[in-house]
Amino acid sequence: MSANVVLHACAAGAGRLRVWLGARERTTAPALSWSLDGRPAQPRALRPIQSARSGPFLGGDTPRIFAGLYEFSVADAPRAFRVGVSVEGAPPVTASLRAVPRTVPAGLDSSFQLMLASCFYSDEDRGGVAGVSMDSVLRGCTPDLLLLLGDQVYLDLPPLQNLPDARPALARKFEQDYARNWFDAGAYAKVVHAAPYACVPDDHDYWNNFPMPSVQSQNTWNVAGRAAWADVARMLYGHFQHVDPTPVGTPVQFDVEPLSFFLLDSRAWRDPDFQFTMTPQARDALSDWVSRCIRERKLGVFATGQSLAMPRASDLNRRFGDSTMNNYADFHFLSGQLDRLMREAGDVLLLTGDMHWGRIVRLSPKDAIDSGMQMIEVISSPTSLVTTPVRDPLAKLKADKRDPWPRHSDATLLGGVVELEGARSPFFGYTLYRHRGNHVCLLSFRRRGNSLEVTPRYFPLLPGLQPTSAPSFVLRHR
Amino acid sequence: MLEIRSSPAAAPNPNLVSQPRARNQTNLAWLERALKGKGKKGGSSPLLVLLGGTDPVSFRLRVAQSHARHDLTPSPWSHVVLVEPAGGELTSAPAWEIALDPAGGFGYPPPTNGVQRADLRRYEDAGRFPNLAVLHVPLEVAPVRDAVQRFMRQRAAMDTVELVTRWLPYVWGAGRATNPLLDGFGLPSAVMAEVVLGAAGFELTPGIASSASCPEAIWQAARWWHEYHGREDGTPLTGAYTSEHSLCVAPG
Repeated sequence: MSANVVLHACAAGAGRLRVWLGARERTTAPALSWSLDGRPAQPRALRPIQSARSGPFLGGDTPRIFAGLYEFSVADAPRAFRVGVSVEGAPPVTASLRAVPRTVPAGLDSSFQLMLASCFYSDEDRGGVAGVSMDSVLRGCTPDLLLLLGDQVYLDLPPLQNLPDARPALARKFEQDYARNWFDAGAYAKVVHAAPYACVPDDHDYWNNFPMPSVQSQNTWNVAGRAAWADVARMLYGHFQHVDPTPVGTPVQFDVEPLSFFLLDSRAWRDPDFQFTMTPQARDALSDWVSRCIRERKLGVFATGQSLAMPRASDLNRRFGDSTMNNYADFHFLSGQLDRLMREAGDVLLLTGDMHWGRIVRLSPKDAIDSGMQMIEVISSPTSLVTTPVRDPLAKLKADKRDPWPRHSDATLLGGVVELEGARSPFFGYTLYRHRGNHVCLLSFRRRGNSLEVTPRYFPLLPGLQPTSAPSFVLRHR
Repeated sequence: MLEIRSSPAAAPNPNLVSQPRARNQTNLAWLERALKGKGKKGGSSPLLVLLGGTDPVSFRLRVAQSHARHDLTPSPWSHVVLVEPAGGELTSAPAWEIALDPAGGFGYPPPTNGVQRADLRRYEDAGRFPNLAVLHVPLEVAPVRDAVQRFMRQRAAMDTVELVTRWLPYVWGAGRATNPLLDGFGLPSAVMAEVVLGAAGFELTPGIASSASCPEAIWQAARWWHEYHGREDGTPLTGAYTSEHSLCVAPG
């Protein structure tokens, strides 16, 4: 990596090796020549290589990133494939990439390994610590899937910079942010490259509290500025993070039997009037997915850029601070669908980032506590904590000098009654585990009869620190 | 607090029956009688033999597991052995355990992940092991046999050597060793049975995670989780027990 041509594996259904290709410093789409395991091959072009900036975002024929999404049909085998690409005008590039497996393997000597990461602010990782730490993590395990759970880029930071208003200039700035995180080994690229990836966005993939105006981002103070920024951010999100041939905002779905994943983009088309976080198509897709999970006896895994179990933000906070999912009218529908999934299909795994700490919570419905049905929420955040002016220096002053994470805070304990409006009953919440500091989380899924036992491990992204295991939990069918 | 879930079943498993011990009956004789009652079909499935002892190690293990019981009384059980019936005498069938007081000492446990070949004759004394249960696991023997062998070679899947080293200080009362179960570290023999049977296709204890399993959790699974095991044409655990020895009784 850190080259001008990069290949990353992306999440897709079994038997499909999906590949994201990026080439930078180009002015035209290059001709490509592919190979698979050393033999010439022709993948299907899900999104042919094209300029990441185009149309009104281009502003002149300057060198820029070209990106595409391709897919090979491969055997469902637990191995890496050697994918090569010759990009016109650049040395050939080869990468060892894996496809997402068809099933959680049976037998006690194998498991399905899901890696979670979120919230990477590159300015706080100029030494490339996340990448170096990932090298060490990957020596001990091979994740089968990587979910990037929001804030993969911080387009609105540093906070006090004066951004250009014009779409092409904004696009160039944002493209640089993506270039650093998707191409440079010293930044996030090693994390992105760790396993077939898929993403959900959170606000900083646009700007803080998108789509509401943000106090610290002057460009968002008027309608035209917000529209320009949103257009650019959405376009780049589509090229780098939405690794699916569907339009941005479409939920990404795939199965790893008996798990079924639903990655909800609740940000791209979020309503500034607090009516919805999902498009009508996403609502329908969610309802269909829940019905399919019930019909096909799947255990649902639901990923969002924000926690569903957060206390509702106040009116002032939702407009000028950080709105929560339950500030939006369609939260009732969302909770109701997940509640139906839990009651009729099986235990539900909720995955998210956002919070700048790690936490695992069990949510047991009050009206069916004896049944053992549950939702488990796993939060993994951050990989590189964002700068918070004023608070950071104070926290460093107060902290013990031996504390490796003086700027990080402890996870909020969740306990007692938790309301997910729209669910049939409130839940009892119980915090199973908390983690502090930059990290990635690895969930190991192992078959246990008809159920799945999940063992979470949190890997600190600091060389020399050892991973910690959280208590295992079991996901069961109804 | 131990993370263990209670079964919603209203009545205990009707196929787990009390089989009182005949006067002066040894444990092996009791087991032979229990197995005879199951006929030929029942004799071909893997077995779990639960034991409740009266020696100091067993005493401490039974007390440790009180946290898995709603009334906090000591468990009737201190140990579990996994048996692969081979059609002949029970004592000649391959049997596996991770005892915390192995007859020949521990030797060097890493090559087998701490798993020891069990000799059921060691548990014959009804005075030392007054509580006894035999559970039929609804699986074929072959996948269980395969899983046992894999378990011994795969410490990465579940490090039961580590569990042994966590439990020995507790049972010996070394230093300030606390009850490992409260930190989610199960009793090694139960964890081995749990992981092996899980890999072979049977979720032994729906109430608790594999790594925190213990003989008491297996007992509760057999007695109370039959509806869960039996849904969708599944087969619950069946068997017989005698558990007359009690260390204390909860008031009321």
